[in-house]
Amino acid sequence: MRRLLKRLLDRASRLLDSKPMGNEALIERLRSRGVRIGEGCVIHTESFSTEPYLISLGDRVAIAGGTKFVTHDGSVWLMRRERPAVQTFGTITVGSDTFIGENCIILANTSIGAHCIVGAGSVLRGQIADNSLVVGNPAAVVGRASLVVELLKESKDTMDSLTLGYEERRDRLLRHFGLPR
Amino acid sequence: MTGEPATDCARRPFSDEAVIAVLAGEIGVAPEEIQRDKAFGKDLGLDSLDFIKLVMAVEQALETRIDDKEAAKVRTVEDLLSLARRACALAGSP
Repeated sequence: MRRLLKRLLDRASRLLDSKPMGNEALIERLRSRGVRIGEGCVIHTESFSTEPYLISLGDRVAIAGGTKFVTHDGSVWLMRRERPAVQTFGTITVGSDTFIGENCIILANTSIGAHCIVGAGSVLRGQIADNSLVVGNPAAVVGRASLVVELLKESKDTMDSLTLGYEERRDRLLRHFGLPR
Repeated sequence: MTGEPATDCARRPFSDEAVIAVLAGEIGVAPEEIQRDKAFGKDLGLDSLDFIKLVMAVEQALETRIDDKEAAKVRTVEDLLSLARRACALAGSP
């Protein structure tokens, strides 16, 4: 009986642990691991590398799901026979008001400026100037983020719907795109 | 890497042909096939990323800076020519 109760408690604990975490709770957890995070950030990933204390985010940074930060370089593997304990690391900084899309990989020794947009699936390394639109693998600057913002303002598909409930937003979107309910 | 182009249009005089050549290169057609009344999205099939790359290429070719707000209102080839012309006139004025 005691064993059964223990198993049930273990299972409940695992379920609670796997429950998606709120943004504030996640940010607190990442800060406790050493990630430097400014105010007003929205983060949908927990993948902040094995050296999270080498990562700094400015204010109002948004990071979409699936994005990974990598603060080391496994290429040193090729040196391991001569130097069995060798490792190499690099910092990552992200400027304020920057958005990083889904499933990006941000490699060590990368500094992304303020007011940047990083397109989904990009793989970044190096210095990215403020106000850059960066896309691709390897990522390249293809334009200005400020132009993207102006294009979004002009787009008929841009709407103020963030505060709507699920059903109200669904109805509005189905109507907007002319799709049946 | 940088997101900021130079702003020195005065060194290169503006011509519609220069902009059309850039556009033709970006979409992969001959310059003479470009029609001024065609819309970038509906007629030429450019999405927003293609359009941004085009604006950057035009800025680079003319060595000027096109205003983001104005660029976002561009719909047709003629709109872009007109905007690039104005940007060059502004950059060239004392």
